[in-house]
Amino acid sequence: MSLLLGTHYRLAYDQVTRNRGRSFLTGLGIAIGVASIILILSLMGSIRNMVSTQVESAGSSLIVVRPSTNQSQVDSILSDLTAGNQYLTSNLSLNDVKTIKSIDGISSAAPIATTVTTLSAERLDDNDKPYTFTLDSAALVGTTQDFTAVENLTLKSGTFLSSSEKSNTATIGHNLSLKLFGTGDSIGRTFTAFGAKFFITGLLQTESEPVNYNNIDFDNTVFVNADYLDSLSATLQVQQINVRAKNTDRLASLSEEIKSKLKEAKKGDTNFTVTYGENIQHPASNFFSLISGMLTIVAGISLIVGGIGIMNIMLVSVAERTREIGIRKSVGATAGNILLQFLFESLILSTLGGVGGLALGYILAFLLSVITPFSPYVDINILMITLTTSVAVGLIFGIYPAIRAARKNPIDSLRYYR
Amino acid sequence: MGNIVIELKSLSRSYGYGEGATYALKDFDLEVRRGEFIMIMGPSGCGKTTLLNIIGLLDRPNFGSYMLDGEPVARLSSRKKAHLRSTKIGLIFQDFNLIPSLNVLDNVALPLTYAGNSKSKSKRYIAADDILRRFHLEKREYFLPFQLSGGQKQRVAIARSLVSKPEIILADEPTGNLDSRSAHVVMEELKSIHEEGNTIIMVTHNPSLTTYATRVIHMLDGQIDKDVKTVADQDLPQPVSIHFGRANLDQADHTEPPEDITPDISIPIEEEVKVNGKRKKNSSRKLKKLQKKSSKKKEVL
Repeated sequence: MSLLLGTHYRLAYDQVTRNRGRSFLTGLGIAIGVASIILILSLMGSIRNMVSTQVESAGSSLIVVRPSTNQSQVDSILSDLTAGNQYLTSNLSLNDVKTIKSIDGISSAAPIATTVTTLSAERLDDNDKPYTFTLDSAALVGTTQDFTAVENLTLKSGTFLSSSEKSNTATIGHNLSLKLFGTGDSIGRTFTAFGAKFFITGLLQTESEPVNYNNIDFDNTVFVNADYLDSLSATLQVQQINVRAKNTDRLASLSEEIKSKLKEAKKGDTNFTVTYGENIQHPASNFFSLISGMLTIVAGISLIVGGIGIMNIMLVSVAERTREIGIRKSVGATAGNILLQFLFESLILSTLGGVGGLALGYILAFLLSVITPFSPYVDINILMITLTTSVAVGLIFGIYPAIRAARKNPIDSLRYYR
Repeated sequence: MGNIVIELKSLSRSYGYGEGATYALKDFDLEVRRGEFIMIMGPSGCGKTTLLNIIGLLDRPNFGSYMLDGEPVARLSSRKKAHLRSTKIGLIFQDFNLIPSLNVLDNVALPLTYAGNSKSKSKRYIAADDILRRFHLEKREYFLPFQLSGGQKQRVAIARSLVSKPEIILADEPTGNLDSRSAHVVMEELKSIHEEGNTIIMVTHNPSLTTYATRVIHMLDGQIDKDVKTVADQDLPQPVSIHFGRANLDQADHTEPPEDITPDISIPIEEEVKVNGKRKKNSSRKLKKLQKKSSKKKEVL
């Protein structure tokens, strides 16, 4: 049987373009579903890309230690969501940093102990009268001077913390300095946190990368000495330990050694992960995966609705062209010819919708990038997913009307009057 | 003497079940020889259209056998039957049955599209154009069916039925919806087709048209009531090489072309271009190029 693919494509295309309004509305349903999926995939891809670029620039000798559970990924995500405070689930401590630093082959290790607290600072009002300014929910990170060895931090001025572990020095991000002191030049100024005074000794360069594998918004964070912070805060938890190896050859063996030393130091507790290279992800990547999975399901539902729209319109088209089907069969069209003709029409509708959705999705991703740090992420896999999804929707929802058309009795069809 | 091209034996076609069943055809026997022009007449509901549908492979009998060119049709797959409808059998309907969204050229070329041969689109269009010239409709090639008169539509339908050079033409009241003048034109066309050796089976209510037939069958209640041959079997026209090209027209077509029936809507040539849009223009240019090439080749031969 000659497939007459060219003929069927031309007939289907003519039919779609003849009813432009109807075809547009039908394709719109698919376009919205596809655009949603594109937006989600672009967002996730952008985050992954940002993190991997950061990890690459941090150097290939970076190892990251994070608290974890031995649960499955889904259970872990659900328990994180219901734990109340994610920080309370960390089982890493400052002693673990010392344990890691003692391993041969490790050049430096720095903890990241993030907490959220109230900061207060003395400011002058418009009449030059001093008053106390309070800033709630400010991010405070306890770390050590080694942090500059494991992270490519750029200081605008001053020094990063001090060499003394108990020192009450601080290094502040540019935006937080503006919020707290009203000026970007705050070296020498003091602020109070946890009832203790801290002196600003360093000012960070503006990073504008709030999404990173450290989960720190550098522009809106103040860094203090971890040991000093630990003495002030009873609830301090270490969320991450960044480790720099001396060379990149032994990363795998070093990672295993870190695991075994920590397990020994923690008396058998293995609730932590040690990752390096491209396995380093955003700390909330599980959460992002869950959210993106749920959003993809919602987008999939909208695609199903769009597909039902295609099926509906194709059934209408079959009913409208019943007589035409009878005429074609009477001059030699087989059931297969009729089936392919209507299936092509459905495929064209869904593919046009898919292409429109791709464009719409990236337009929305671009608009999103204007107000967020997530730039549109273009990847051949995303394009293939779009194409495959569109074709699949066209096939799945177009096959039933096509079969109905193919099964029509030619005599009854020739007698049919609209 | 023509070979038997259609043989029906004890053919029955019923609708419904059990005691409620009605027979459109009952123990129907018929032999059709090649080159016959058969008129089938009878009251409404006597089974004429059912007979034509079965012969045209659009319907299946409940009982009996149907041999087409010596081959039993019951063993044929639906795909094979469809192929026969596009190559061996030409159907002409009372309602013309042109596809409204296709222009005349596309309508006429439709059987060739489904014939499954390797003709390219341009060759199909050339074949359609050739046969439309025979019916003096070449100026209406890019018209849509709604822009034609009834007579022109029926001539287009006849052209469509002939484009793949079938051996058998089945016509179900082809003049039923036409005025007398258009009906006469259509019958003259069928007559000339018959004289080329084609087998025509035509259903009609009009007794005056029986003069065109070589055999008249009267049906009643699904069976043959009367079967009258007006031409002996040995005098039936034999098939000649059917070629609808311009060379044959120049040699064979000595009659005056039929008076062209102007359409109800008078459309000058300029508007023809506008109505059918850009694509029609391009297609028309392409077709003229191909026709020039084709006629140059014929001159060389």
